[in-house]
Parts: sequence; C-alpha cells; structure tokens
Amino acid sequence: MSGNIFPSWGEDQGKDVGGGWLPSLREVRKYEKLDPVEFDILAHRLYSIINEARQAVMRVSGSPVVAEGGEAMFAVYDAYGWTSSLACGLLLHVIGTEGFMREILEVQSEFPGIFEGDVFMYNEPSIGGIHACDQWSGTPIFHEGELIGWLGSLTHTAETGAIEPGGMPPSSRSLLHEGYRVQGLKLMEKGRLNKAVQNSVLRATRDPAYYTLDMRARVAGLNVARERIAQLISRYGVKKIKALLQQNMDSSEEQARAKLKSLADGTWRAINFGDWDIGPDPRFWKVALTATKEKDELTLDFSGTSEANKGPVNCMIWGTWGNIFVAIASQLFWEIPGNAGMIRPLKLIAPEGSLVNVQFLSPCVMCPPMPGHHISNVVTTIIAKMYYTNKKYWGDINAPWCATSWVGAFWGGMTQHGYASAGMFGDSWARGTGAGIDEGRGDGCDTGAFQMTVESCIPDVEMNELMYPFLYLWRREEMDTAAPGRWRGGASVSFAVVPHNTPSVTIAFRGTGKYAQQSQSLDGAYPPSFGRSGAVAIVELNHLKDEMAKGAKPDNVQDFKDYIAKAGGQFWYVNPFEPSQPISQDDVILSLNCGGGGVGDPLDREPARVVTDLGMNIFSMEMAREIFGVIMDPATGTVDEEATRIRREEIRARRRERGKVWEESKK
Amino acid sequence: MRIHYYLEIDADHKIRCLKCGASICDAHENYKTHVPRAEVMPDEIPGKRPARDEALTVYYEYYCPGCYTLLDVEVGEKGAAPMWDINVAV
Repeated sequence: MSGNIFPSWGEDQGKDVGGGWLPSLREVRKYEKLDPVEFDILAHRLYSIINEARQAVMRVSGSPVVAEGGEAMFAVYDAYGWTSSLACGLLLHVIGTEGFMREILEVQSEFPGIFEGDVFMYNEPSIGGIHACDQWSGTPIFHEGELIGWLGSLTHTAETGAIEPGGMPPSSRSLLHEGYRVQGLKLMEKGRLNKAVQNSVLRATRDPAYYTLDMRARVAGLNVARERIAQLISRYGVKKIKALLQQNMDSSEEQARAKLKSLADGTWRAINFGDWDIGPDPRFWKVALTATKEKDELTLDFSGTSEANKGPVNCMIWGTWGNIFVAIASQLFWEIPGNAGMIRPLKLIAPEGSLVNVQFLSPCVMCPPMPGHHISNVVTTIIAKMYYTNKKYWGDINAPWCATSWVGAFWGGMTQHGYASAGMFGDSWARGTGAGIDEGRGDGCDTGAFQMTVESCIPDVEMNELMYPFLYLWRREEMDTAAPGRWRGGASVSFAVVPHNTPSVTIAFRGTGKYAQQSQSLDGAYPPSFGRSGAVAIVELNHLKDEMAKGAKPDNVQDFKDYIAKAGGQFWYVNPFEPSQPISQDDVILSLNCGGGGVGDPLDREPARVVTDLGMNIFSMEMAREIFGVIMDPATGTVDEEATRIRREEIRARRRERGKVWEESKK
Repeated sequence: MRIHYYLEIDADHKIRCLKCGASICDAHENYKTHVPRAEVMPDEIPGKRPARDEALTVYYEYYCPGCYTLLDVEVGEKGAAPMWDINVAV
C-alpha cells in the first residue's frame, strides 16, 4: 500500500517494544529462502493452524452472524503487521486490519509497551477494518525476546451501541453516531483479562451477551493459534518460521505479477450506481473505475466516483482496499495464497473526499454493502474483461455477483427470552453468484454465496427463530432474480419475517436499487432484478397472529393482498434506507435481494435450459417469452420449437427497429 | 485476440463479431460508438426493477450490426455517451 510513512523510526532501525526487540524492517524482510518442498509443507501447516483458529472462533461465539454465518476472519502477520496467511471467512477484512498493528507499534511500543500475552482490540475504521461492527483482537508473537509476528482475529459483532440498534444505523451522519470505537486498548495484559476494558465496552452496547461471546471467541482463536505456532517453532526452528512469513508474501507477489504479465495490456472501465443517501429524495451516485494494466502492474483509478454521501454509505480508505481485495482474491488471484504480497502489484487512486475515500469522522458504517459491493463489483467486471485476452483464463471468467440487497436487516428490542438484544439478519448472504462462460462454470450458482465472504453460510431459520424474536413466513430462492443471459446468473433469496413474542422491537432497512440499477451483467446479459415478490415493505395484516394460530400461512404478496381485502391492513412501502421504527406482531417485514449477473445474449440460451429454469422456478413464463424468446408447450411441458423460432425472430426484428448508431442517434 | 464473449481483435487489428464475422471498427476505437444501440427502460424487462417514472438509470442495449446479437446491456444515465469499457493495447 503506497503513501504510508511506516515505520516512523525508519526501515533500518530496530526498536525495543517493551516485551522484546523488533528488528528493523529491512532485517525482517531479509531471509534465507526455504527450499520449495519445505516451503510448501510449512505454508500449508501455517494455513491449517489459522483455519483451526478460525473454527475455534466460530465454535465459541454464540452469535448467529459468526457461529452460523461464518463472519469471522483469522490471520497471521509478520512483525510489522503485513498479512502473511489468512483463513478466509471475510476476504473483506484481511488487508484492512493491517493498520491496527501499525498504530500499536507506533503509539504503544514505548509506553505501555507490547508484551507476550497482550491482546489488543480495535474497531476503528479510520485506522483499519471496515466499520465499527468489525471488531479485531490481535496479539504479538514473541520468541526468545524478539517480536516475530502477530495473530489477528475479527468478528462481525452486530451491536455497537450506535444511535440505532443492530450496529449499522441508517440515521448515522457522523462516525460519532456509529457506536463505541475501541482504539487499541489491551483487553488482556500479559495473559490476564483487563476487566475495566471489558466493562467499558460491555456498558456501551445494547447486547452485552453477544459482545462477550464474540470477544471471548476471538481470544480463544488467538490462544489456539499461539499454541500451535509455538509447536511449529519448536519443531522447525524460529529462523524458518520467520522466513516462511516473508516467503509467503514474496511468493504470492511473484505469482501475481506473473499472472498480470500473461494478460494483454490495456484499459478497462466499469461503473456501478447507487440511489440513496439521507432522503427524503433519492441521491444518484456512482462508483467509477478505470483499470489500466501495464506489464506486471494494475492501476485501479476511482477518479470520477461521486463525492461522499452525507449518510453512512461511504468507505474510508481501508474499507475500499478491503472491498478491492474481495474481488482480487476471489477472481484475479484466486489460485494464489491470499496475503499482502498479492496486492503489491496494485496501485490505488482513490480521490480524497469521494465516497471511496472519505475524511475522518465521516459516517461509513454501511461501507461493506454500500458502496463496498459497488467497489467489488466494478473490480470483478474489469477482471472478467481482462481474462478474455488469454485463453488460459476463459474458464475463470465470472460475471459480477449479486451486489444489491434491499432488506429489513437490523433489529433491536426485547427477545422472547426476556433480555434486550439486537442483531442483523444474515439471510441476505444467500445470493446468486455470477455466471461464467462456455469453457468455465456456465450458469451462476443459486443462493451460492456472498462475494465478500465466499465461505459463508446463512443461519438456519430455526436458529434465527430461536435466538431472535421473529418467525419466518418464508425464505426461498426468488423467481426472476437471476440475470437472464446465454449463461444466467444465480438466483437470490427473499424472506419475510413476523415479530414474535416480544413486547417491543424495531427494524431498520438498508438497500439500494429502487431508483437506480446497481447489479450488472456481462456481454449481453440483462442485469438481475429483485424478482417477483413486489417491493420491500412492512405489511400490516390485522389480527395476523390469530389467523396464523388457526393455520393461515400467507406466503406471497398476492396472499397479503387477499388477506388485506378480507381482514384489513395496509402496505407500507419503504425506501432503500429507513431508520429504526417500531413494528408490531401483525407486521410482516418483506426483504429482497437481486440475483447474480449473467453472460451473453439470452437469445443464445438453449430453449431446453430455459424450460429447466422454468421447472425450477428460477424464471417466470413471462421472462421465458419476453427475454429468452422461448415458448413452452403447456400440454407437454416441452419447448414449442416453431413458436420459439418465430418469437426469437420477432425479438431480433425489434432490435433492428430500435437500434441506432450513436452518431445517428444524436441527430 | 478475444476481448469479449462475442468480440475479438483480428489480424488486421479490427474488432470483429465472433458469431457472424462482421467487422466493427479499429481495435483502438470504442466499438460501442460503431454499433446500433437502443435505450430500454428497466421495467421493460420482467422482475422488480426501477419503474420508468422514477428510474435514475436506463439500459443501453448494443447490437452486432451483422447478426443483431445483444453485445452489451450497459446501465447508464439517460443520455449518456457509450462507455469505452474495453481498450486493449495491440
């Protein structure tokens, strides 16, 4: 990462950090290369260790977001905080956490000092990480009086004591509205819990239970990894482990540069749009990327991106790096071990004051989904376009994944168990992935994954119903969300919940896509949509619980309309961001997600595939007829070949009629 | 050299349709300014999309001038010039 003056004491000076000696940066980076076999063995061993530690974090945490959804990251860093190996829970967080160790070294090494067994905590987006929910704990690794590395563990701890419950307040107008921000306090000192530090956070959150579980889960992960690394050192010697930390990064850098070299030079562009800031009217904004690849370097220039929003739809620079890393690690360098080495060939231009590089104290709590998905999406798009220039990579071409959710995401209130809590619905991680092309993966994966956390699962409905004061009316793959193309995108989830057995509960919404198309496709496929369940809404259905007790189970918008006509009620259509508002036990919260992007002209999709899609409720008959030009014989459930041929000719004729070359269209 | 699902740069440094062979423009030009384009409202396509009376973006469809294959559906502001999204150095 360019532009940092770190370490401030210079690259040639070492430093006494209290608990041991930190050699100079130049010395740390100098090492005797391990032979290829030993390097492979040790690199995989280290990777297993941090994966085991991540599993420990997930098993100790009781939070549905972490334990069920897998929003937990674990990494090992070198002595100066550069990422050497990562256990990918959230790709988003990895590179963004490096700033924490830099600040610890800069401000704490002289006093109070850094010691064996210290566990530092951060959730400050201006220093590292993405937003206040992303809570990191890290510990130094010392060996015989020398600081040789760091371990770091991060969880998405939903509730942060912000101005609204649930951790991501749509009403935020300043970083100061986004809850507690811990700045490198020692949760543990020399192996002992500092209860004062723990309490200072516990008393600042609406949900001390999940906070405590997540905090202890992170410490448990650190303990597991610390023990395993000590075993590794005792077996192979510290010299080799220090070499391993550096060689991991150098090896990834070398592979990344070689891959860039194998692609044609050129310039590619992509833009993603958003439509909301603080209301009451929409605000049109965009994330624009010009990517220039020259030899073994790639410049990502976000000039042309809109100025910062007044509300929380912004990223600080670490958030932007994190979202770039999502696409780089999962698309461009997916086969290369993920670490700081793979981003060394990248140059980032992010104009200050734009929504990809906002100033200190600007609100930014929505950064991961917005504009984070926009950032990951434009980078994914240019990578797909670059890949065409080398046949070797055609199998890896991937349309942008689902980037758009518009959901009642954050709740707060009393649970059915009688305690105050708050949280986030993780259902939206079940999104459609982007399509590939003929030589690759073909169609996108339905409810496949969330690009920023490719290993994610979604919490079981039963787990959410157990932990949260809500019941589900449905959670399903939503028809017509997938992008229609020669290769279609993956379908995404929709869900509807009803408050249950709670005296008071609020819901807040987040989203984009009501006014501007955000999610996109590639090379002739149409963009994905929110499907057919209507708009995002709170639907009040009079006496709903009484009717449900008698067996009623409305499971689509038409049912709601029929119900309202019979028993009364109303729709409240919501805007992309609606602040927390109280809801009653007769309210249904309806949430939608767009599907994944497709590739190629829908008229090139084999009719038989479209009929299969119809059978799986991926597409509607309307989509089949209007966009794919496929007519199914209702009697046999098979393709009507002649009617399909005629329909496709009609669509092509309409294209001829409507299409005008740009210069002509200006006349 | 292939540069797109349906396009390549041929030996004469022209951008060409891989399906019908139509020659579109020189490799150093924006192919989108040389092919037919149609402005389409998002709600012309099935599924929940921005409604035409409040949409801030439209879809620009670009077609191969030879076979009318849909080459790209670009999301853009109304009246926006074609985006030069692919400029491969040859």
